[in-house]
Amino acid sequence: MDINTIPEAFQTKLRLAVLSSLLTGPRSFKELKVITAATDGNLGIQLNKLSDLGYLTIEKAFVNNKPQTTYTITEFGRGQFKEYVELLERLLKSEE
Amino acid sequence: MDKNVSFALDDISLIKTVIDRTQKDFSKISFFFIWIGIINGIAAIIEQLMYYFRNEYGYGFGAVHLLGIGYYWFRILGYAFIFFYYLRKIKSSSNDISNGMLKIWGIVLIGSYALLFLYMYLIPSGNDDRINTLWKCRELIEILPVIFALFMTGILAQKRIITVVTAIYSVLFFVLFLSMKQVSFGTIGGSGTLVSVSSITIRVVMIFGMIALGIFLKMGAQNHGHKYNTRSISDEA
Repeated sequence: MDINTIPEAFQTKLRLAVLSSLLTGPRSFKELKVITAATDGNLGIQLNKLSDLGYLTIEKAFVNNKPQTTYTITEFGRGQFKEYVELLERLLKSEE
Repeated sequence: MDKNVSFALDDISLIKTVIDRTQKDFSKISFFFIWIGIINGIAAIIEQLMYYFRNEYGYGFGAVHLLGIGYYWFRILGYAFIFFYYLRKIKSSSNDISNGMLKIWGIVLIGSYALLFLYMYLIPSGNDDRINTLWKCRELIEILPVIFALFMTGILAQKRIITVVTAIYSVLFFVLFLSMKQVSFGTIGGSGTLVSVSSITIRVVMIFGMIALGIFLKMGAQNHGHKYNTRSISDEA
């Protein structure tokens, strides 16, 4: 990964925020909404996009008779995230 | 500064903020405290019922003994159930701070109660000054670990208000404890019994204090969100 080939997943702040919050464990839609303070529509679109790109998995279940969607970062997503952070480190080191 | 470096700094700052925020999200653990308050609220009703039956029908009435024992067992079993339920729930979220906080509260509530049971079992029976003093000291077994856990909660959650309120309460408790002031308690249906004011403050803390703490942590979780724009990095470059 280099500065000219940054994957789509890291090209918006909201997607980056979502992936960062998923690093520490699976989260529900409601939790992600609280963490990012994004609107339902915007967050939903970004989550679907990340899922299409293979960065996260979506699991739908009924908890206490209420539908609950849980999002989990995939191994691919975690690996890409690591590469992205390494790219950021390299950028900062090059400045020094 | 190079624009790419500026973006890198922005993104690193964002990642750090989000990870930090997920670790400080106490919304899952907040209901644990609310449930502790509810358990103590129900236990207080059981206790009042016991006093009512005692006032109406005397010590010999079967329900008095049953409710007296039930008051203690309801609390310890309630604490254990809620603790293990939330421990399982928190485990999946990988939130280390919430996990640590929950374990401290579990040890404090269940451990201090187990110690209280042992203390009450070992305390000699009778009604002289020495035994009354020993009986009064059981309050300390109940409240000192709770004060410790409240301080730890304030430190872990980095909420100074929890630490300050706990410090004020602990001073107030010791003043009341040493003043040995007593009031009538359980007066429904009769004259009740004299209990120390400090032990009433323990009931207040364990019911209303715990519910307030839960609501406070829940509110904190809802207020810490920030909007992230969806501007493309490549558009800005």
